Amino acid sequence: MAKRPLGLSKSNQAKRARHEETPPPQVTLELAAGEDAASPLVQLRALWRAYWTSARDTDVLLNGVLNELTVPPAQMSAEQRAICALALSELAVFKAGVPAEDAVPGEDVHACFERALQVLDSGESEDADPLESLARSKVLFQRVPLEHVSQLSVQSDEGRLQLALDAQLEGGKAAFRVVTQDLPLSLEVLRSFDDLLDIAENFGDPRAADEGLDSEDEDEESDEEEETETPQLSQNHPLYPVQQRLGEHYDWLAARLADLATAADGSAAAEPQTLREIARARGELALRRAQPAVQAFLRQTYGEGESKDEAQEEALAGKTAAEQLEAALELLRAAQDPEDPDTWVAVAEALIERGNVLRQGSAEQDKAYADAEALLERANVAAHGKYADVLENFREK
Amino acid sequence: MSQQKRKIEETQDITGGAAAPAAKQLAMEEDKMKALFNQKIWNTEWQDNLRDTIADAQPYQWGSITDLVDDSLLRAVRKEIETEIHFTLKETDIYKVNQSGDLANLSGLNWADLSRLPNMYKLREILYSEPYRKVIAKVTGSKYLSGKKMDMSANTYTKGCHLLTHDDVIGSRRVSFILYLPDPDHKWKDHYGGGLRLFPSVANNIPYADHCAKLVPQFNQIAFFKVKPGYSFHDVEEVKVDKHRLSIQGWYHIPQEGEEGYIPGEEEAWVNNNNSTLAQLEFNLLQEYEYPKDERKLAVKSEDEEQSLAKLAQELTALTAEETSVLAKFIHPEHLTAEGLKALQTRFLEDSAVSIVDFLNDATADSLNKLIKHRELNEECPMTVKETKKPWETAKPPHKWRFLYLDEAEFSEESDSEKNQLDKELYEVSQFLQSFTFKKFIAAVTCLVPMTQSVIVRRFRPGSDFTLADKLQLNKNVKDLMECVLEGTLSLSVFDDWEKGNVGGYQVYMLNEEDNGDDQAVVHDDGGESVLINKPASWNTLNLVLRDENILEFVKYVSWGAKGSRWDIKMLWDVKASDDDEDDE
Repeated sequence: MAKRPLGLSKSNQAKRARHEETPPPQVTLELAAGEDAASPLVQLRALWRAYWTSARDTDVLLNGVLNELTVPPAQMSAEQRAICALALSELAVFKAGVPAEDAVPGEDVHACFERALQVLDSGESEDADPLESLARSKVLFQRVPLEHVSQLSVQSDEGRLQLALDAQLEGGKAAFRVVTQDLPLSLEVLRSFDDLLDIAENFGDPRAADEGLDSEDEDEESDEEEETETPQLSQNHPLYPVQQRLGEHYDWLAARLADLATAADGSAAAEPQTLREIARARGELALRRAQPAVQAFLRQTYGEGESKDEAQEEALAGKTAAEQLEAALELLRAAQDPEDPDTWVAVAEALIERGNVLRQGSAEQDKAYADAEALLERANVAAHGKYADVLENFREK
Repeated sequence: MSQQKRKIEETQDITGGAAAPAAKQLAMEEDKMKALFNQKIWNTEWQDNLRDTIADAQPYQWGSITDLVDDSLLRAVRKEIETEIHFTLKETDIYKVNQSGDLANLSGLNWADLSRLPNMYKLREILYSEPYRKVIAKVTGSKYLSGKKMDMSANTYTKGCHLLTHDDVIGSRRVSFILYLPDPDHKWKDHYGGGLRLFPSVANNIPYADHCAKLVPQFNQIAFFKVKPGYSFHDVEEVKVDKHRLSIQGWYHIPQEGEEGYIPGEEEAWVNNNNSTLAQLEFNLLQEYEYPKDERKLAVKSEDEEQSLAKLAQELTALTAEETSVLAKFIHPEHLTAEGLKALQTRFLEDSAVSIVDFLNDATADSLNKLIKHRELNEECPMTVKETKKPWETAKPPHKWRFLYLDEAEFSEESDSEKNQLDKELYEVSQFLQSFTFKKFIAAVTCLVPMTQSVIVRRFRPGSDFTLADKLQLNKNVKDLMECVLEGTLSLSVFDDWEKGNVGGYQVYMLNEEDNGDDQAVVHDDGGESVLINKPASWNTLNLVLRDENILEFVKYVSWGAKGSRWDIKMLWDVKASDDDEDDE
């Protein structure tokens, strides 16, 4: 005869009365079709994948990955070394959140990155595995901000610190590979490089440290703080060489993102979401890189007086800016996700920016603004009113 | 009674004693104290105007004063709070707030602590000073307010924080106040959220579903209202942006013994009147004004039907091929095999709960998924009662719950051409879940005989909807029922951001720990031991729970930041055991 269920609280009490220990949290690992569930490498890969696709807000799975790797690094396969290094690099993120007084020497941020590089070095060969190379790139790009830049101030001195940050960046760039079998990881490594450049570019700017500025506030603040300049770093600052070569670094980034897009387009296994995210990264970078042309146009347009030469310069600046913005728009359109209104808004914002550099009152400008408004309206409905304020501001202006 | 009174803040007395001599030393001279206020408040004409404004205010008597205190004092208080007070995020069914842990209440502190907060202490002194209390008493028509029973705390609302509808009627509170301290150098804007929203009442103790007044808080602005049992309903709108809305909130209480205006027995009478005499009235009124109704229709019409369900608990093979075929029109076939049913039954008997992933079959699930996404992405979401069109209705009152539900009677009255495809398919699923064949599935999985049923299709909108923790309501109308209710929730939420946990929308079953005197429905910050089930919204998962009397249940408020609504179908069955063996209990 079947048992009678007790009820939720009574079942819970009964378990406690039986001194049943709460079972450890169970993790369900997904394997690809045909994979051998008994294979340690398959399990390792699945464990790493489970962490990588999770919210990454706990190091439990990372520790699980590291516990699986019981042989010395020199005896690991290239893939094992790569996963080990990646896991250590991610573990450093959690160590960074530990207060200094609680940090355990040998288990801190520095130790994680050092061990990651040692693991990769133990398998060093002339023809390094692409995944190992990509892992090295990730470690280096992650290390610079997490271990080094986080400790810097505007007064920091390279002579004393000897960080050679630009050399580390070059090391990461040299190691970077597009791994077709892992396009999301390849993209994430490039994104981390983008973030690193952004940190370097804005280092010391108090506005960059402010959280939660919405677009309206940013406009107000830029009006109020026109007089405030981003602090110029001294030539002895560890980030100075990086700042000096930002243009070169961004060129490299744009080229690698283009390589990634080519590889993704040619890969039957590439997920539509991955293709969109690559397009988005490219589009956002293109938008940022169009800013000098946009600013040049605005300066020309709103400058005092206008000679014939200045009018021609203004038109040229506008044409250049519009072309660059159009290129960015093409990428952002490709990045649109039919289920993500944020991606539609990104296109709308780029359209507005493009409209701003077109001839005032022209049909082309009107169309750009009209298309932007239509997208914002649609996004506002889909996002249950989240963009009502943005729409209202746009219409007022 | 299904409505829980929520104890939101604790109160402590200052009784004097060892603190009294020190308090006298610190008492400011009246002139100095008054100088720390905006001088306008001492003007009689200004007071009269404010009093009249408050008297006519809607939906009940409330008011606000801008630039209340000395700007540099309040900036100093803000600085002190930021540097000296540690805030802990606390989340219950009714709120998500960063509370000041070690200084939740300034009463009864020793000097070692207060020396860290000299400006905060000064602020408290002036807010509870006699001259200021008299102003507040006058403009609110409150006669006398206690200066002895000080009751103040600091909270900060960050992105996602909120406080749902409540009336502040606890103990001897007479006037509620909130002094706002957001960033003093930037205007707090409407679209940031964090507004104080006031609700009109449909009847005594029944607030209307939507607010009718809102205050967007600014630095050095105070809002206050007379606590009116059954009427002073309000909430704190969710903060939508990454900013801090710091505030000091407190209450003025009924005068205590030894104070001017003290009336022996007044406090006791007030408390008793609000907490007990009205209790029964509340229950009856709630029944009348509560929608949707808790109407559990009889699902088993004869003894034969009852027997056929009981038999399934013993023999899973009692499900005929024809019945399996009917079930398969909606349910995924993997759950209808003998092995599948056995697995579900085993898990349910072990835990009195089971989660059935991929519950609906692919065709039904895919169709619903597309239709729900289409509605979410292309149709404007109705956010007020007025905007909500049939056959959807708004669950009310909001101090119990708020969500949209499909009113099946209204749906049935619509012509075919009026019926929206999504509504049609949801209605079909709902009808299936009410079918006798589905009850056989339930009996097979749970070894229980469902005798009555209630099925509701629900939509919880971002930035709006929730249910508060409530106690189990046993059905007294049917004999021999277990002292449990079987609940089923078929989650049909299409977007994938629910797992992260910071957008709400999760369903909680937890132990009712009334005795500890604290907030019953604490989700975080309590070690988590009382929470037995915490399920994020998900796609196509049926959760069955046998809920006994000691269990509270609620669906957490869905954050404005969620990508879309939480959709589900909620089922209730009063059940009988399938066997007669009393020894099993």
